[in-house]
Amino acid sequence: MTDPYKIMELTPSATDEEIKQAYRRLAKKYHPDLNPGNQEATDKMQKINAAYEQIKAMRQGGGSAYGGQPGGGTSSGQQNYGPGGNPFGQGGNPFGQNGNPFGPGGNPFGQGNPFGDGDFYKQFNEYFGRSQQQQRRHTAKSPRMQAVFHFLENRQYLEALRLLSEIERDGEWFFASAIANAGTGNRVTALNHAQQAVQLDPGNDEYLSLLEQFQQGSFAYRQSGEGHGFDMTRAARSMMNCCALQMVCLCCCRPC
Amino acid sequence: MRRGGRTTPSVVAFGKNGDRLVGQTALRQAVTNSERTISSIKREMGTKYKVNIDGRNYSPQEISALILKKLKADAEAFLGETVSEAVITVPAYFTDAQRQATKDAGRIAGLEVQRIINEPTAAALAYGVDKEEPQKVMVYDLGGGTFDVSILDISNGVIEVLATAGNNRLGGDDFDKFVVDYLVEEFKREHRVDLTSNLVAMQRVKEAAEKAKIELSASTSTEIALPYLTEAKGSPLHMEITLTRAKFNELTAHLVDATMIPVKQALEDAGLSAGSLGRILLVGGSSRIPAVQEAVKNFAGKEGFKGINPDECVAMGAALQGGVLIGSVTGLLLLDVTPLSLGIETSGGHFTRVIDRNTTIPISKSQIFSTVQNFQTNVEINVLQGERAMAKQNRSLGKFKLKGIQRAMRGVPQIEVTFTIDANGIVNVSAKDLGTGKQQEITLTDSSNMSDADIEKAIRDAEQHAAEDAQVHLEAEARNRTGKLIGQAEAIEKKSLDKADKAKLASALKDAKKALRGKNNDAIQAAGDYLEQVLSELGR
Repeated sequence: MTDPYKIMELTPSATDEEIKQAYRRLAKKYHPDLNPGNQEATDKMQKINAAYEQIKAMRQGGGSAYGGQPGGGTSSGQQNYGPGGNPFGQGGNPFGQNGNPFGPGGNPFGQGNPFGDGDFYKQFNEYFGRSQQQQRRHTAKSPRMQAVFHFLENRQYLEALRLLSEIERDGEWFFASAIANAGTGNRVTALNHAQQAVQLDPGNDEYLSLLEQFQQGSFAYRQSGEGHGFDMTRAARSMMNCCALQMVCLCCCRPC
Repeated sequence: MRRGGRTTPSVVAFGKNGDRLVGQTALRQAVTNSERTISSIKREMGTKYKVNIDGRNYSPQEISALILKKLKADAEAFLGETVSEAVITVPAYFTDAQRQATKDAGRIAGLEVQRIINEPTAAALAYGVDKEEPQKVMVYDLGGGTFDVSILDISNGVIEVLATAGNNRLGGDDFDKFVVDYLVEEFKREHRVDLTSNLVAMQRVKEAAEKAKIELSASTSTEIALPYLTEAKGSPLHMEITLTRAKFNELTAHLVDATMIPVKQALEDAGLSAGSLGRILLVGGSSRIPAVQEAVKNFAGKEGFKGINPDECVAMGAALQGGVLIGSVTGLLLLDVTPLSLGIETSGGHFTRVIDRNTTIPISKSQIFSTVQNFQTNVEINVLQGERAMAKQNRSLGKFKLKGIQRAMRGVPQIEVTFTIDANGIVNVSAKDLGTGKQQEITLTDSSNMSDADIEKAIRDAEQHAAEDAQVHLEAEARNRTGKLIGQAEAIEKKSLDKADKAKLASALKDAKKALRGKNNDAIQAAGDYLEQVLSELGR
């Protein structure tokens, strides 16, 4: 995932107005209408529009325009910096809403196996989606941390990491960072941070369960991953997804 | 335009003798030739609808192309130069299939479609709102067959569409329909005669209903008088009904209400309240209806703006956009959106979005999907457009297969599906197996849309028809000319001429008259030429 702010020639601290200005300036420069026959400009404009959408979506509170959709690859996070608003408790959760292709409720393993119902296709991100749903009960301590968890829930891992880099490190920080790193495919850091979270706050069940999920997940992966032509350098991301799948399985079985 | 009217009705008719009529001429003969007259073809664009005339099926694209060809010819006659490129406007709420079909129609008519732009946006351009202070504008566009609403954010020559919504099957024609139903019902009550099976009578009632609708925009009551509408038991029956504006409003209130649903949705999507709108532009002929204007005023708390002839402002906007594209209009940029969400069918028949509605175009976006079965080696990608949760509730734009995926456990292969929408709102989809690098791509060709071969054929047909038309035209001209010459010759014949000349003229005249009785165009032409030569010799 490329950084949308970089494409827009901005930093994440830009105000909404600055973003709008930048967007219009870039549009005037690269829009195909003003650059007839210039494929390069068209490609650039496509990227600019995608980045603008992404930033707008990230900054948009609540769920008005985007509430009804499953958080897709790049565009659809929602952010809620507002004080007191726990993003996990609100309607902004795309997985609890009608936009979720798998409908409400969402424990796929408990109510018939969704993989078996005949269609060829299945969205990868669902694995992540559900794993995050299990963590929705996490109550962040500060509004900034709430924002981080909101990003995580919407799988905006890079955004979460960026925000985390501005926050002081404590147990919760490592916990969030572990999830974010897992999300971006950085499994080693994910495991390290999960361990650190537990070290800093050994009494926290939530942290412990995450660490266990990672550890057991990776064990489970090694068992089932054998013989599938699966190697780390080629498909690190695939593996991460596989790992996440295991995580979900474990998650669902646990009464957490 | 050739006839002086500022607009050309989008009506096509196939005359009994095989000729094709477009515009006013088609409209005028609609009553007597209703089953071979086609109007509102725009509503059928992108569907499988076919018009069958004399055993040949015409697609909506071909019918539209006839209209475009006529416009092209009229514009060429007016400008005195060839017109080869065009900007075509479509309702903002048109789907990909409908846009694709519109583009095809242009191609068949011999026009290179430079841009397809959304009508509400075009209207905003025509109003010159970009020249005003920065503000948010709502365009309420109630046309003959479609309803669109767009929310625009305008500042410093950039028009950014924030949201668009609409109903492809709601427009002035529906208002007419409910008036027609009422009139037919009233007539039945009075005379106990059902008009619905009488095509000619129904056509007259339809025209009267539309006229009444228009009159009721200015006055509060109108008379519908149709003498000799039909017969019963040998005596003629007339329709004489008074329609008040109040009754008209009552008949069509639900239609006015229906326009408010997209209005609310567009505002919500744009994240705005009605109060934050700086201006509301009323576009489309049906926005002249007082009840419509009232409803808009009640909703937005301010009067709708209707400075320009609503029938024309869309065309003016398109012209401006054409100017932008060729560089003769500067300092203006339209940033338009895709009206409907795009995505693919996923496990369990669900619809998973990749690009949301109201995303600014052009755009390219990818999402990664995987397999659901172990060792699955190919996937079928069903591309969908719409807002519903289930795949089958949305419109399928086309399907394609990605084969040769590396054998792996389910969920392991990574298939990147990329959607690209160009500045015309036309969609291209590709799928790539990130493991093997295999790629498959389609530009969507739904079964209702035409393949390149179909279009080529339609272009040839259209050209052939143009050649036939030209031939007919040539023949008529030759006949005219020869006829005129005969008249001149007969006048001269009466004068005193010397014998040799008289004989020469008589023989030329006889040949010309004989040729005119026949059907050989060359003979007519030759006889005319000879007669002209003889006449000019005599004149010397």
